[in-house]
Amino acid sequence: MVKKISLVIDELTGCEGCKMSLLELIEPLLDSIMRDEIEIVYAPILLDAESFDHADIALLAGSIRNSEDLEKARWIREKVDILVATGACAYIGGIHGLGNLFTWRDLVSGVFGNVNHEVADEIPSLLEYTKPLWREVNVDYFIPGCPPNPDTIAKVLDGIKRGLKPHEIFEARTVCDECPLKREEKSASKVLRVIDTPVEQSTDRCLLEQGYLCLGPSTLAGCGALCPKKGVPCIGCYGFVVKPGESFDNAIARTIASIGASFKIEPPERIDDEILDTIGTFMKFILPSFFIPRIIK
Amino acid sequence: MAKKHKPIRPLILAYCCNYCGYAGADLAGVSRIEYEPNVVIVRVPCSGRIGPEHIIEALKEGYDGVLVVGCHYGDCHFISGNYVSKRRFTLIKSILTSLGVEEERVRFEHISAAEGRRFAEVVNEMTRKLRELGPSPFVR
Ligand code: SF4
Ligand code: SF4
Ligand code: SF4
Repeated sequence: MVKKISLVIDELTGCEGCKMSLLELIEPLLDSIMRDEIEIVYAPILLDAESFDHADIALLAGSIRNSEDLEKARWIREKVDILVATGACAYIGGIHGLGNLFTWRDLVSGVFGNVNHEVADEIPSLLEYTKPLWREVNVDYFIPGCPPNPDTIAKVLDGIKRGLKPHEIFEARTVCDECPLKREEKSASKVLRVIDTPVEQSTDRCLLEQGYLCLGPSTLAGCGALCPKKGVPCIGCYGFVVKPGESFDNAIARTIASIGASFKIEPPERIDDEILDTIGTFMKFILPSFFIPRIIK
Repeated sequence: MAKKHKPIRPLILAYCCNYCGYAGADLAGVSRIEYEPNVVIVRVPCSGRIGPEHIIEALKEGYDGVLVVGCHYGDCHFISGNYVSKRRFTLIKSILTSLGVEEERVRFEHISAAEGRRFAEVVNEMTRKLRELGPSPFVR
């Protein structure tokens, strides 16, 4: 008999989107669950189990934003053999990582006005900044995406089962490799924004070459080029391709160099004004994994 | 950076292109122009070789400032290397300053092979500013 795999599913600070993706996965898993090959031992969205002793695999979504997240991440890490950072938030920090452009005090007073920052004892306190899991605990595997496509989740689970290493699960393919739009090896001479210049409905030309800032050339494949297929530039939710042994910083640097600088803008220093929101464009999901993960003051 | 001896502070890493920036620095040397010793020069074939990764790496290594020196527009030995370099530099500088890194820590200059004096001035000016700012927040 095959050994039963025990599974934990949970989310820290996130938008619940990853949970939806994980729930979608349950259906295809049902068969294996019925056949007693997989057992879900702890998953607050599905079960009322309040704790567990040990599990083989934890699919942990969300990032570490407050003291409760930190405690929980450590608690789960201790009890599982394989921790899988699930979704952009857990893997690289996620979209709310852009909040790291403000100090936590500025964030609180920006939203709630002039309040007393002393937090009541029973409420988890905000940490200084949003962190991906890897900054606090050892992570064994990752599932990219905001939220991850259920196929991507299944692919990683399958890879784990077959004993592959993380970089063996994902080849260094990019969204461009999955994108049906046509490239002509041209570079654009101005930056277009979807909000000002909507993409032509019937277009079959590469969006980047038209001038829209599409991060497809750097972004890890797996979503099936969901966005560019519908005429929306890729914003990099799968994270950038990171070569084995390479740092996130290098992957970010390569993205800026290859995509940002591909625009033939003159004088060259105008590129920053043309892009308008440079940091938000290139680091929408990955800022908390950069070597400066938050504003320094 | 060698950890054995205490480096001079502030310390600037200057990436100089072979045909203009480095030649300019060389001219400063052969003309016996005196300037601050706070700079480590790295000679590169073209400023177009220098991208965000080199600037990030220099800061991570603990340099207080990073200087990229390329040719004047139109003078690049490889035609457009300095344009590419400047675009990449502008973007990474924008990201670094958005995160609170002081403007003066990362600088791009166009210096020709005939401008030895200009090279010395730039190094002096940058050293003075970095001295005011204090050590880089990334010095370990
Ligand atoms: S990765 Fe995206 S979908 Fe998942 S929790 Fe974070 S914001 Fe939500
Ligand atoms: S539209 Fe984007 S993803 Fe598609 S080919 Fe162009 S750059 Fe790549
Ligand atoms: S195209 Fe880009 S932004 Fe859209 S789902 Fe795929 S990786 Fe995410």
